[in-house]
Amino acid sequence: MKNLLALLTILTLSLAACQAQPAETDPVEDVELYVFAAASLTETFEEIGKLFEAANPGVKVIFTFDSSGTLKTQIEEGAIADVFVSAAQKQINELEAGNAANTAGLDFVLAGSRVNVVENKVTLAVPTGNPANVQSFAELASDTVSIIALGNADVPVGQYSEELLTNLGIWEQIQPKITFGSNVKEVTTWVSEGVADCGIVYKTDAFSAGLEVVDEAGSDLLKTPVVYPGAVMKTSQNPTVAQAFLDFLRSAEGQTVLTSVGFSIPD
Amino acid sequence: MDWFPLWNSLRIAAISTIVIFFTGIYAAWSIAKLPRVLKGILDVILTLPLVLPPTVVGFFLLKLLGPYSMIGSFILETANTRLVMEWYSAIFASVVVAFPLMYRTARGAFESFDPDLHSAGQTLGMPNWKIFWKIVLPTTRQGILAGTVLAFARALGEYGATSMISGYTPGRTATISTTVYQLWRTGNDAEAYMWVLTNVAISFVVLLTINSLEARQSPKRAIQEMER
Amino acid sequence: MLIAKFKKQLHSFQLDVDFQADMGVLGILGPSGCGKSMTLKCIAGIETPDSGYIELDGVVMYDSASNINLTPQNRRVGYLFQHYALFPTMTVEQNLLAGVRPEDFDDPHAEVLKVIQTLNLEGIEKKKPHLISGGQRQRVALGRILLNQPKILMLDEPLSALDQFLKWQVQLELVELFERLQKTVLLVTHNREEIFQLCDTVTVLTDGKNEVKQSVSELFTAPQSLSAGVLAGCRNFSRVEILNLEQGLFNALDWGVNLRSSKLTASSKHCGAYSQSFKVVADLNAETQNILPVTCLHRFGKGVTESLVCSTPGGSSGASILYTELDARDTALPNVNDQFHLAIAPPDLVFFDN
Repeated sequence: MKNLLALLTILTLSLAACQAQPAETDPVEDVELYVFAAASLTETFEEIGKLFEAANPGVKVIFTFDSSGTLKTQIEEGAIADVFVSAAQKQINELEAGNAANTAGLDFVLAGSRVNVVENKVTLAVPTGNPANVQSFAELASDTVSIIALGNADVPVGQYSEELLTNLGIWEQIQPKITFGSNVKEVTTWVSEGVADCGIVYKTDAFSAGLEVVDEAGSDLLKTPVVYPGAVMKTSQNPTVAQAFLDFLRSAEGQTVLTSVGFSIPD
Repeated sequence: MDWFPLWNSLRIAAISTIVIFFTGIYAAWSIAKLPRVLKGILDVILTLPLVLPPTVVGFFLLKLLGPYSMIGSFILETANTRLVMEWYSAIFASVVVAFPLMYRTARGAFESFDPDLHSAGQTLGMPNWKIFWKIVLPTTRQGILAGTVLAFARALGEYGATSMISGYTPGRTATISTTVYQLWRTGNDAEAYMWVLTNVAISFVVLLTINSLEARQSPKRAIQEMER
Repeated sequence: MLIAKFKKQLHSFQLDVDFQADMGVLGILGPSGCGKSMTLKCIAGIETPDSGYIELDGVVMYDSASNINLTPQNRRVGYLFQHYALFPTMTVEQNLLAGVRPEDFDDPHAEVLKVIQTLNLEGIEKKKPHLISGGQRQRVALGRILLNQPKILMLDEPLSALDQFLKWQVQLELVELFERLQKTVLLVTHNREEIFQLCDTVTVLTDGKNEVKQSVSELFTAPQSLSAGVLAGCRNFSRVEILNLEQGLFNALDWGVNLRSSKLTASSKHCGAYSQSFKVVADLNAETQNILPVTCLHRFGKGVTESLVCSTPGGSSGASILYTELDARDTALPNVNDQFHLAIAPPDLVFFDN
């Protein structure tokens, strides 16, 4: 059933993308590059996309931003993606053939293309004026905090949040106060709208949304490094251009944009 | 299995339906008597939530009732109560999206109501409110009931605006629809199926109710037969 | 006593009525869409005129000058709607009960039972309106109104919703009811039969304005305008050229003959003749006045009367054609294309000043 669904999805999407498929032999002519990227990369990638298009006339970059978990599921179901940049190793692990985490036997990652793109920090952000006067992760358990916005278990930032709050020993206790969002942008919006007293988001999201950050998770609370891997998908019709995009992310131009919002560059 | 979403969804839908029942009927009855241009404009405004995506509705509601809004901050200061991120926040969302269904159905029912019946009641000395409750509503019973059931069904199935304004907190604000979504997102297919089946069962009951109401001999058909 | 004098702008004309009604049955006769129902609605208070004055039994119900406008509930007007307006979700008994004003009777149920007996509604008390006959529905509607103790009874085309064979029966019952009631009755209709059978006086309503009230017989013998004449059932009209006023001699221009009638006046512009007024002349030599030589164009109808459509010396189109209804038992009835003579008695001619 799942295969039939995948087949139908591919057929439908292929028909839709039909006009966008140029001949393989002529890569410069009117290429549409589909980039799936974690929601926290929205602002930076859109800027990078324009720079890439300027440097490569004839190429049009089409982004899909959502939680990495959603994007991984969509790729699995057959969505057309040339490049996938995830907010955690987990999602690309699950798509990579031979990877220990890949229990479903999927094979979507083009060998040799996987690379670490950026590193982020997990922070505690509050609305303007910090109405609940939250100062640290530990305070989430206190009575002064009523509503905490987190990503759900499918969202990398949600996974990071659970890890650090479990390490703090307060995860079970604060359950009734948590409202789960389906991607980091939803969580960020809940905080900026003030409907949550605080939320755990990436440093870069807090920066882009103009939110005040009151605490940052160090390596003692968060063992897993918050590294964003990227890879070219095996199903890509334009692997050369896709690789060029990944390279552009790691170039000086790309890195300038990324670091400007708070990402750091991993080795 | 945690059955909170079922109980929460039902109470939200029930309360929303009661609110919609009275406001929808009142709006439909008052507007049916207005001059045509004004009636047309009000119609469009009141039907808008039906055609707007629920996320647009959710957006407006957040801006209207959130803690930074005039209304939201006022309630927060005076009553120390939050209007959003609570289970009852979903009532606002459900009322707004389901209201047009009750309103349009009731309007249709009232438009096809014979005005002579109302006039007759008046000349016989019946006060207008009595005419409404004893003659208009019983005669338009079919349409009103159908509108009510439709509104209930819509309120029960509300997702987009509800998710934005109530968030998702299991055991506190979760509804059937937001629960199914989150269960699917976290790969919990088995439990998601349970909720889907529950929802289908409720929908079945709702639709069967509508059908049985329409099948019975309606007063409207009686009037038509009378005039032959 | 009802005094009604008001104006209301309707779609394509202005309704401008001015009449009074006292005991007896006053009919308002007018074509469809002339504002008759609107007149009743204004008197009942269901609609509001633009300006004017309405008074009933000494109580001012509407006065635009003093800003008085009683609600329908307070006017005590009995209104029988064309389709009776029985409440469809209530039984006959409940409908009747709805007509009782709580302040009028100590025992509403007893009064309802009385009306059920008087109007022959036994056996159908528990039925809903859609399950009883048209005649029964009308009686229930009337019963409901009577229980309401109205000061005036207004009927909107009371016989129109009934089957042909019922009309006669109901007409008799209504006449009896009106006599028993001893109240003012107002009846609007486009059907002259209803005027003839039910009313004492009549006022014609055309283009929104009503003419002077007259008795029903006067309407037929001396209609005040061409429109009134048409409504009264007159189908044959001709322009008039006065030849000798003293002798009542005139030339009926459209018919192409000279005719004589003492009803001719100096201001007569048109004359009219009812279809039933003509007789076939069997013997030309006998002294019959007002003879018209005609040719039969069409002949139709079966039964006691037949309709003959004839051309006159004036021509064979427009006003020159005569529509006659003749007794079919008369064996000398002509056939199509026959030339023969018709006669009309001088008093049977009607004259119009417009």
